[in-house]
Amino acid sequence: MRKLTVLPALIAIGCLVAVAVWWFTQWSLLPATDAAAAQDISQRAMRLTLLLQLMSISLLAPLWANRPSESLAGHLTTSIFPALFPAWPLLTIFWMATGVSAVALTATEASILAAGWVVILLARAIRQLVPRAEINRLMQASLGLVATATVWLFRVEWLQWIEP
Amino acid sequence: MDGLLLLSVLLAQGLTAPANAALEIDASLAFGAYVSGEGFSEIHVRAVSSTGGILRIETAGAAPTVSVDLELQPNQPRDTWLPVYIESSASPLSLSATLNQSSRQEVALQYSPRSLPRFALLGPQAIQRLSHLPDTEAMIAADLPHLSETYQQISALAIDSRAMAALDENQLRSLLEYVGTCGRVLLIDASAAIARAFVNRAACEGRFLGLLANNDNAEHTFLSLIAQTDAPLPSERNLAGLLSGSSIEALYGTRLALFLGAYLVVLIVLLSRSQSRFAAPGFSLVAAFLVWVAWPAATSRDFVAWAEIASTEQVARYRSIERYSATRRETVMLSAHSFDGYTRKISGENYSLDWSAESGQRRIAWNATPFQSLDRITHGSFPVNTTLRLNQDADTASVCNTGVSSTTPMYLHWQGDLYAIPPLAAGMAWSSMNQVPLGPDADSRPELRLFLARSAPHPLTVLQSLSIPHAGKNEHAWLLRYQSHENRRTPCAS
Repeated sequence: MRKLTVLPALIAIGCLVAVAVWWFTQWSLLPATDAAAAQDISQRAMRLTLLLQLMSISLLAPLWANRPSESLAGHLTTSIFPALFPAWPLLTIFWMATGVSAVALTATEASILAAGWVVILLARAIRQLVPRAEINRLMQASLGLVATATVWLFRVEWLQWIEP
Repeated sequence: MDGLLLLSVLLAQGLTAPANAALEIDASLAFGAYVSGEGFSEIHVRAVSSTGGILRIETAGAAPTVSVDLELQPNQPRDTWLPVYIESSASPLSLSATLNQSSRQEVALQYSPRSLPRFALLGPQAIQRLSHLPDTEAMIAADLPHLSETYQQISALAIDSRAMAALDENQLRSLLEYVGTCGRVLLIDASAAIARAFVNRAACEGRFLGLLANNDNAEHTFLSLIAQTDAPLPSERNLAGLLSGSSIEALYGTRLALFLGAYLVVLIVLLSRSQSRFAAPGFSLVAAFLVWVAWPAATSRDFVAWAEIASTEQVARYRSIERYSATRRETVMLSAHSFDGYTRKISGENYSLDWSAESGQRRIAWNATPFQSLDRITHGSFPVNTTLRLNQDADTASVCNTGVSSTTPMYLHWQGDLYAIPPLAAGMAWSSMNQVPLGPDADSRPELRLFLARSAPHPLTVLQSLSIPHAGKNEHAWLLRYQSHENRRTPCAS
């Protein structure tokens, strides 16, 4: 139970480190007067962070559904939520840097939470419909891959409302 | 040429918006509605209303937006001149005028692109004697700008006494400011008072000001005037190197990296050690809140002005850079300051010009976000007292203070050596004899590096720090005085 809580958080931290390193590298290479480019880097970093959050949740959520003792509300706090909260300070920095509306950003985080919950629901439905464990695991993994690919395909449409 | 003259006059008449019951608007661009690429121009707006009231005028299509509020009396025309920054000659330009927040009119402004060089001719004598030269354009007095920024649109100007008499006070002031920044002006048959005012204001040792009597050869004088080469002031990039404030990256990059590093370490420790499932999310929430609260509040301002003057001159010309660095999202109103010449360029985003028609004060309203900066490049001139004398002979350079107050510390460059001069009390002199020049590491300071680079063409130069009233710690102004080649020996006693 505890490991399952820590895993999404560690994955989120890994994503956060990757985005932060990339952002610092890009940002420090910009000339000081190139304000527009600095703004753009922060905007891209925010989108990347949000995208990584949703993609990692989409990929892992079907596996979290294999904890039958966990309620649906419990999944939110023990699985999805830990994948989101590590990035909050970084997102706050990006929010201050980009001028994106706080409402839009909060709504996006909420939509990630909801998406993860829906994927867990689907994975639980698959587990109930297909009793054989091997096929069930395979279908859940496929569901994760399909969900992640869908997020990637529709990333532009999904993130287009995150505008300063 | 006649066709061009006719076109200029027609364009100068401006465009009139369709009249309605309450409001009539005329609008026209300066210099005959020709615009030479990116830069400031100026819109003359004449508004008249049968009812009177508060008229809000805003520009659209050019960046930044300029807005002004005018109080109109019933049936009394009111004029105003708005600076407009045209980003490219392809940008459409229009005005919207709203009277008492209800009656609204749109006026589209037509203008034509014209590349430099471009020489403006004003008055019958100037037009008659110079209009056969290439790149000249005949204009009328009303075409001349009221804001000195607008002189970016021409390369030189010839004006006779008749046209000069038709200028109003603000046009004359702007023209004098143009001369003060080494703008090329030929005065034809000017009165003694006008000639004196221009000579007293001219920078660059007056090389860009021509005075022509009635019988002189106008063509020869004008051609030699426009052939004069300009010794440009330090570039925007050089000035930016003198800004003392740390760059945004240097200031915040390290702090952000340390904060995020510490945050990650604590977060991992909490995740692996803490028994409470709320400890890590709670910590993350607090860290995000800290970022929001502890972020620096004020937008910082750095300012550097670099002025140069020949020892025989009384007017120094300068270029300055003013950099605002945003630390948080806020709307900042940036006002003019003591070194307020004409704005040559503004580099930044999300700003607009807020213009007070009553006081003439212009402010920049900037919607700032962290890591953004806004630069304002200004050119101008100011009078300098000539109480500091520079002298040199074969083996000595000296500086004497013939004024009544002490000088600020100075640096002197002579024969490849750099000397530090302490403050000189009134009547005191300093000589390079028996003085030890500064070592080779003296040019580690950016202002001294620039000083040495700018000193190269001159035999003797002095760099002074200028005092700026109410200056902050990141505001500096420097004055470089150089001795003209023509005047190597001046007596120390006044």
